[in-house]
Amino acid sequence: MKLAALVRLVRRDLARARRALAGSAFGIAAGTATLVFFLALGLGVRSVLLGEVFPIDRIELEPPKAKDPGLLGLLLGGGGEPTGISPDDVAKLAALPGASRVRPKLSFAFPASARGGREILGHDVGAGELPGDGIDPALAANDVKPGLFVDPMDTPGPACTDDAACAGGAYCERAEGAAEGRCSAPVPAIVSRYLVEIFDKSIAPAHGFPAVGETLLGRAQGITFTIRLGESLLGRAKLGSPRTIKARIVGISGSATDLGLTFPLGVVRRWNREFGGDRAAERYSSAVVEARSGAEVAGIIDAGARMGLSPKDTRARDVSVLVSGVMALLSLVAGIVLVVSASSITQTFRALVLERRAEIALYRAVGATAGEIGAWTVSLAAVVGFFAGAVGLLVARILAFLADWAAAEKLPDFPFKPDTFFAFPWWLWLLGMGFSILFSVLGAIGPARAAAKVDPARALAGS
Amino acid sequence: MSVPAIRTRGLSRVHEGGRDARRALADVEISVEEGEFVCVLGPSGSGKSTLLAVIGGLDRGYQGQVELFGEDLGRMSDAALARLRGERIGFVFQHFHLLHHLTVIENVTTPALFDPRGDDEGCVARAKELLERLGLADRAGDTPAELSGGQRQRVAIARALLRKPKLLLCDEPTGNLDEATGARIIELFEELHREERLTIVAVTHEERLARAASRILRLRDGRVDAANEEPA
Ligand SMILES: Nc1ncnc2c1ncn2[C@@H]1O[C@H](COP(=O)(O)OP(=O)(O)OP(=O)(O)O)[C@@H](O)[C@H]1O
Ligand SMILES: [Mg+2]
Repeated sequence: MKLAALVRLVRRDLARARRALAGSAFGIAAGTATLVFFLALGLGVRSVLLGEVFPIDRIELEPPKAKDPGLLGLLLGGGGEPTGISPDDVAKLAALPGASRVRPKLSFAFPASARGGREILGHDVGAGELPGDGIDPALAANDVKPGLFVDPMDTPGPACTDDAACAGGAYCERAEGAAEGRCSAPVPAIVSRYLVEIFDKSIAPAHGFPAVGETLLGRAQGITFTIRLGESLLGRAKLGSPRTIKARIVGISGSATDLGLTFPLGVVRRWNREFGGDRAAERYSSAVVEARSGAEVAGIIDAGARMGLSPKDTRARDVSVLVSGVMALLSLVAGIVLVVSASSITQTFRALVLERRAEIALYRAVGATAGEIGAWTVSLAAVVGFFAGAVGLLVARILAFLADWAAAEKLPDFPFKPDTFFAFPWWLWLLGMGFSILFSVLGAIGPARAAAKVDPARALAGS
Repeated sequence: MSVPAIRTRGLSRVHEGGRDARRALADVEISVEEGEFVCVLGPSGSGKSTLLAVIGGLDRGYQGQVELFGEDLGRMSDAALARLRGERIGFVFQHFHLLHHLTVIENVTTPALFDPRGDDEGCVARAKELLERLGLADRAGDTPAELSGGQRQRVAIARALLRKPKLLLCDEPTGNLDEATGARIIELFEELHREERLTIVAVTHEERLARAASRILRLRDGRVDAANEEPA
């Protein structure tokens, strides 16, 4: 049979059996819509969760925690120091085939607290406990204007003994006990988008502060803080004596620590030496390894384990498993809808074939092969599946728009609230259409075989 | 001598229906030469329709041998048999078997749908020519429901002739028609036989149709009685 003849037969069927076909297509359309809607929702939520909240393509590795000294250890006055990651280990991590970049971090080895924020919040706010990290400034180069995120001591000011001696916003960077220090511009700090989101969506509304994101990015000057080094709500550093410095937030960067401030590496190294000793200044406290893809992370974790490093936070992997699980469950529901609707196709087509026995027999008498009769029935089902799929995809897209609109209008702001909860990659459209056609055709296979087997002699003798 | 259009040897057909098996054809041996007009007569239930279905390649549940234009039907695949039906055989049924969702011209061109070599324009032209010849030129756009019985049978005949078959198989072509209409259909067969040397096998109860034939086969209880075979 030529394609044109097949098209003609199917077009005639669509015209005369419109209602029966539309009825059976309804289920397929509903199943396709459900499947595509849930998959798009899962993909969308997953990309927000795993892309921004818990990035799946990076892993922070840290050395084993200093051993719990135990009672005996305490009595003997032992107590381990943090082991740290040596620069050699960092180089080894960077050389892993799955790793695209390694960001070693040097955390504060001493307690610190902060006050500031008057410029945009109206009055100063304090953080009783300030976590801080140092990173290689080059890692933030893409996110911060050049020249802002550098160690101020690279270009030290005049000698000084106290802040009064320094002009403008500068302060006197002088370790306790040193005869004199040098005037220093406020130490630049960067923050994570995560921290900004948490502040804007959770802390700011609770305290009536304005949201900070835009302002922060807009202002070249940034927000200044005073930081108390070596002393916090919870205690004092073992070495050195506490002093106060000035810091300024210069930007938001994906390289910054999630919670806390991130400074140029040289600054933290200097402070750690002052308040925590030489060892605390040399060895990194952790390393964030960025993987070429989420799939490489497992290999990186294994490689890290062989170097005695363990992941700091496996939430990303847990969330990934959870989202995939929920997606699989919802897709299963959609799959069941599709299977059920395939059986409705079967019903309709069985009735259609029964009703058309004489017509089929006539086609056989004038030259149709059994295969052509089967192909005709399956093609009709495929076309029904195509239209059902088109309707299903359209419905899924419209539902997604409505859900996004409702979320934008009705849901309160929360951290990382996305513009859309859905993702419709090109392959999802193909997948939806493919399943729609597949299940229609599967449903019609039985009736198509029955149609091919119609005995022409008997069917023609019938009426 | 050329091969006969139809030849059967030891042809039997047993229907395995219900409680008992029914022998519709028993040991039928016939031979029809090309260009013959054969009429099959016989009482109801004597196996006339069964014989037609077997030699037309529609019914494959027979025993014995059936040859059409020298080809053994029993050795042909389903597809090859379908091609043979499409290319060489035209069927005309007692109940017409027109498709009511189609127009007259669409009904007539139905066989072209399954013609792998057919061209659209050629077949429409041929259909129009046939309708013209059968006096239905002005009804091409109507549906079968709008036609009389005789007109419907003429549409069915046009459909059977579309692909220029060599063999026309007719099962009670005048069975449902009144006397005058039946007579006109019979004239049409005579004309097709005379002018195109079409081989025709027509099943009927009616002596009237039989008189137009060149040979008569009488069936009784599935058997062709040689004594009953007579020239018209
Ligand atoms: N599908 C079938 N199942 C069982 N028996 C059948 C079937 N078709 C035909 N028969 C039997 O085969 C015998 C011949 O039937 P057939 O239809 O060939 O007769 P016929 O000569 O055409 O009769 P009529 O003149 O009434 O059309 C009958 O006894 C009939 O009951
Ligand atoms: Mg009969």
